[in-house]
Amino acid sequence: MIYNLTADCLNEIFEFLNEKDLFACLLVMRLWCEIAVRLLWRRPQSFESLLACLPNESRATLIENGVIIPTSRPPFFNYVAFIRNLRISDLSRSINKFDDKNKEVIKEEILKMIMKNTYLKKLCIATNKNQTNFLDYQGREVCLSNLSEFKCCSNISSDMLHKLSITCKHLKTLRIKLKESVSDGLEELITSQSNLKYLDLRFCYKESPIQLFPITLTKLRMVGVRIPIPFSMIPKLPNLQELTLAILYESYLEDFKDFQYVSLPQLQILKFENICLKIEYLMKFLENNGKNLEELCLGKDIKIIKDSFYIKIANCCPKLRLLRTVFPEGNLNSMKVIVDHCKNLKDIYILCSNQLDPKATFQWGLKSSLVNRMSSIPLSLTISFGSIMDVQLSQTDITIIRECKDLGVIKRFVFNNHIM
Amino acid sequence: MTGAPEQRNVKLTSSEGTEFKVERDVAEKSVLLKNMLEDVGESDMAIPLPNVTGPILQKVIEYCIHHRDDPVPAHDDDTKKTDDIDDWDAEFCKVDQGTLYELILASNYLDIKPLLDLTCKTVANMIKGKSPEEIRKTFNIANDFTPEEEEQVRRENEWCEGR
Repeated sequence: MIYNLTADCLNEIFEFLNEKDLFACLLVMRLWCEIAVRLLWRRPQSFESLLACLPNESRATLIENGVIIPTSRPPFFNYVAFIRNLRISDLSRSINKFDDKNKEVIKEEILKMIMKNTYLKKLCIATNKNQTNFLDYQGREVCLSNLSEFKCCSNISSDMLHKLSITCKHLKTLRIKLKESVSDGLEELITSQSNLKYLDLRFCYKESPIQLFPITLTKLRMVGVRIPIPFSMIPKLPNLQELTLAILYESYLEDFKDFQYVSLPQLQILKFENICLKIEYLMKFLENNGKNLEELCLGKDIKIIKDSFYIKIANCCPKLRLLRTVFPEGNLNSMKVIVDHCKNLKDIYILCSNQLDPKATFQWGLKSSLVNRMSSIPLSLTISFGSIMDVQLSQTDITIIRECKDLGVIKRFVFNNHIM
Repeated sequence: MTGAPEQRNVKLTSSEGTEFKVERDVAEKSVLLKNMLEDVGESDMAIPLPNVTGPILQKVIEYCIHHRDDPVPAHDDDTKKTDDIDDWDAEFCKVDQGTLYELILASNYLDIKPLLDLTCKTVANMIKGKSPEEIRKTFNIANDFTPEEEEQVRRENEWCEGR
């Protein structure tokens, strides 16, 4: 019966599979194989098979340079044509088993073949060391003009960045690791984009000298690895819908003072990885920017949350759908105000810290609020104690949760990874 | 809900000629029908759907009614998860394999992306974690590779085994 499905539909199904499952599909039957192989090889799989795809002139070049590659029969597929995501470092790693003097020529021939035979969606150049300037090879236009994601470090050569700026105009995602030096070409690459949506910046050494952020940006992630995140740039992004901040050191927190005054009218998602902003700054920020907020995730390193914070969320964020927070000071009752006010709320994740006395946890004043939500969307409530695994729910807790589930106000209750 | 009082019903005819009446916002869950209705404008003529049988069209309509108020899904999202099927949708997909495939074909033809995703996820979940032989058994597929071909495909993709 599955024979009735068109190749189109099989492709849609296979899109949901990981590489391991795609590999199994490869061996089921011919039709499945032909569809699965294209998805599997979006990322180069076997390096040997890639070598087997090399055209005769490349083989000749390799032989001239004294590189013997095993001759096998022609590969079952021209695998190179399926490659969409290329990480130059993966390629370099695969070549490592060859003699040093041969590595460069093999890499060159493989890159030449890729440039000539396929078009890429994602490209990653993670280091500026020993970079073959493959952008000079024939086929750059076709191979790279539809690139949608590019990842690099800030110090790759300006020449490469310049060539990418000319060729790739439709990047949607740009991920940059800002190193001790920043190539001139980087700003050119950013400003030459007409539809950049997502920028992911890792600040490793210094503040970004990049001042021009495309107005099209809807998603921004900034990781302050060794230096504080420069907030001066955020007010220039009126279309931003999603902001993720990863603050790695508490000593930077004071630098976030300006964050409270930032204005992001379209913001729907605010996430903190690791350390969270000082609560008073965050409260001020929500006052200015909470009205469209749908997701709020506070980092796991946040210490204490006072009741006033939940009151602030309840008042400022009427559209909230998902809240990830830590266990409130005192008990769950202080979250009542959010359950009462945020009618769209669907998911609550609560992480409990070690300081918490497990016996003092649940006081289900929340129950009446939950019952009042009858007509709203059922909640999914996840509570995790992380390392303190011996915390148990009391019989009363279990009874209340059962009642809420029977009433349909709680859809899913997860406690320390156990789904109830 | 877009239930404006003047909302007109839309008539659809399945492959065997059965007529179905649905409210316009329900029909517009299908991009194909939405575009057609925009082109045609107000009309009492039934829209023929020669590729969809009555029982399948009935199921599709059931899905569209349940999801009529869902927001239009964003398309730029390329994360493909299969563990986010809610209870109603999971129950909706508890049908025999033949019906499931017909639902996939119908949602592909009618261009109803959320239903296509749901039904494809359901089939993907039936594939997950299985060996090629187990997959063949599940879907009643005959292996049409020669042993040499199968061996070659396996060898050329060997690197990903055991990952």
